[in-house]
Amino acid sequence: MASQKCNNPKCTFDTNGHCFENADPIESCTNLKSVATEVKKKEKIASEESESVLWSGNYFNPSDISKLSGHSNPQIIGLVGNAKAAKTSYLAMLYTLLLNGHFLNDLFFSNSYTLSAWENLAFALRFNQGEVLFPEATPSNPDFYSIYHLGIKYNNSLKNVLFADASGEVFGQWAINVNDTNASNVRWIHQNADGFIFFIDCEALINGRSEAKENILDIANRLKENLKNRPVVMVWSKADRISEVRTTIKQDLEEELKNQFGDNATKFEVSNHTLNDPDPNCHINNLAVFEWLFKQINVPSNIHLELDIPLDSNDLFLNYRK
Amino acid sequence: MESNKSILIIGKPESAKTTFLAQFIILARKDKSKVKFWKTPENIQPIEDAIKRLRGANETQATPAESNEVILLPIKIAKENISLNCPDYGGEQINEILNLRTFNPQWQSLIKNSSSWIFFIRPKQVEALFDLSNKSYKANIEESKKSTEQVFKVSEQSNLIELLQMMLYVKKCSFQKEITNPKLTIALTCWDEVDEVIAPNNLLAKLLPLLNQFIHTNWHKDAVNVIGISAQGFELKSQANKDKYLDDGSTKFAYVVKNNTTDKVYDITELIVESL
Repeated sequence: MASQKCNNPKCTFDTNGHCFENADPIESCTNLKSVATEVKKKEKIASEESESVLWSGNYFNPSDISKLSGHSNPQIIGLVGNAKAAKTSYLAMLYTLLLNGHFLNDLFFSNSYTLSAWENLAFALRFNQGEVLFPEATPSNPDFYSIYHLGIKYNNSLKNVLFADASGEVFGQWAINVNDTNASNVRWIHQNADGFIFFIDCEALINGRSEAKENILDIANRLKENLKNRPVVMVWSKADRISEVRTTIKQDLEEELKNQFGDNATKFEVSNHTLNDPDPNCHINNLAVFEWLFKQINVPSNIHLELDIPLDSNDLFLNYRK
Repeated sequence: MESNKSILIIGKPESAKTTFLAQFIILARKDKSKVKFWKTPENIQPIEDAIKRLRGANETQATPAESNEVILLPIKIAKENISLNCPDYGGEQINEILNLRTFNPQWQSLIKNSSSWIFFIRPKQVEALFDLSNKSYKANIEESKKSTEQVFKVSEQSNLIELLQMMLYVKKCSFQKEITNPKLTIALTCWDEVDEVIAPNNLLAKLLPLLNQFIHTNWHKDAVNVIGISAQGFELKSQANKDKYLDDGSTKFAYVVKNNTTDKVYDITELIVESL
């Protein structure tokens, strides 16, 4: 309480209640009174202070996720793939499509605490004097996290979705050495994600052929470890050029990925370059990737837990039924 | 007795707040519309010049964006007294709030105590953005080559969504359930500049689709309204139009277009009535 503090540094009133001035009654001490007044003033100033919102609009790092924990358990989607496989561009296009009114079927945009970060991505897909710059390469610093938030309403329930992006180079290092000291952010994504978008870069397959295929499979092998039943959506990115990928390479890769991920996975071809308007690879599939994965993560549980307890049990707790 | 209903009018600079407020005050002073003053407003000095200009058949002048005037209008609809507040007459504070992500105590109080928010958006000010998703690739390249170099700025939709999110945070509204308080009205201003026959709710969906989805996802359907409004009716550049004002008064030509209709209703106080 404000009345129990004294501003005289020589006075021990605050600790033992003895007044340095021996004031009697204690309330008559001028030091005590002045402190009380000052505290009230401070309280008044505090009440008049500006109120800041909790989010900056920039992308999250893992410590920011607690900002959402009061709302609901966030669902993390990990973007996995080699360098330049268009992981960040996928996010840029997803937000750009939403911004332009290309919506998900029954998933509705509710809110986002990383709007500035989304806007930065979208800006990179805008034409600037005839050119599109595309998002810059994600930094490969192991402490670097770029997590983008979308609040989605589905069946009248709010789900907080977090897209966790990391450098493709780091995924390459992690594929070789799971304990690589420079891959802590990628390990975090692998451990914590509820589902994954796995990128297969058509352009890399056209140029690098078998070598590029093996690089993709290295990361797939690593992703498979401890995957359990977490869903994976395989995204053939830059698919406006998929016809240029050698048939044998494409078939081999598809077969090997199917062996890796089995029934947990599906595949989509996506592109950021619209050949037509509308273009299925751009306007439909970019959204369908997220929608499929979201619904896999949020699949309604059909398990009905029934305790095999006889109704004549004497335990009142166990006898409780809806 | 003052009711606990309080309306906030919010809009960025040049979103036509001045013309609306000037015309509204002229109408509320008369006994002809549904809205009246239940006591004389304490200070309408910032609007007074606009009122005089409209009476003289001149367009209102842009308010300096940094103007920190707060317009508080004590109005009465039917038998209910309501506080109509425009906390940021100039509109610059909104940009400052978005930059600093803070609300001063006056804003906090107005947000917490308000039961209805009216956002002024001028469709003509919404910038078209050319990106990879808009049209076919080549057509966009050609259009973009003609423009000057773009510097990064946040889209209008994102700004409006962020501002609403921040205000809801101050008001302690959750996204978990549909919002019924505050009610939200989007006023699409300078409706005479809209060069197609379209209902206001459809224009919002077409022009600012993500903002539209944000609103309809979070607000209860009965707590959202979209109104087209032309507080001036038409431009006052030609002498013929000026003569209409001089002959019949400034308020006769101002109109609103309600949510899903295309019909003009020649009484702009309807914007306030509809927002409750």
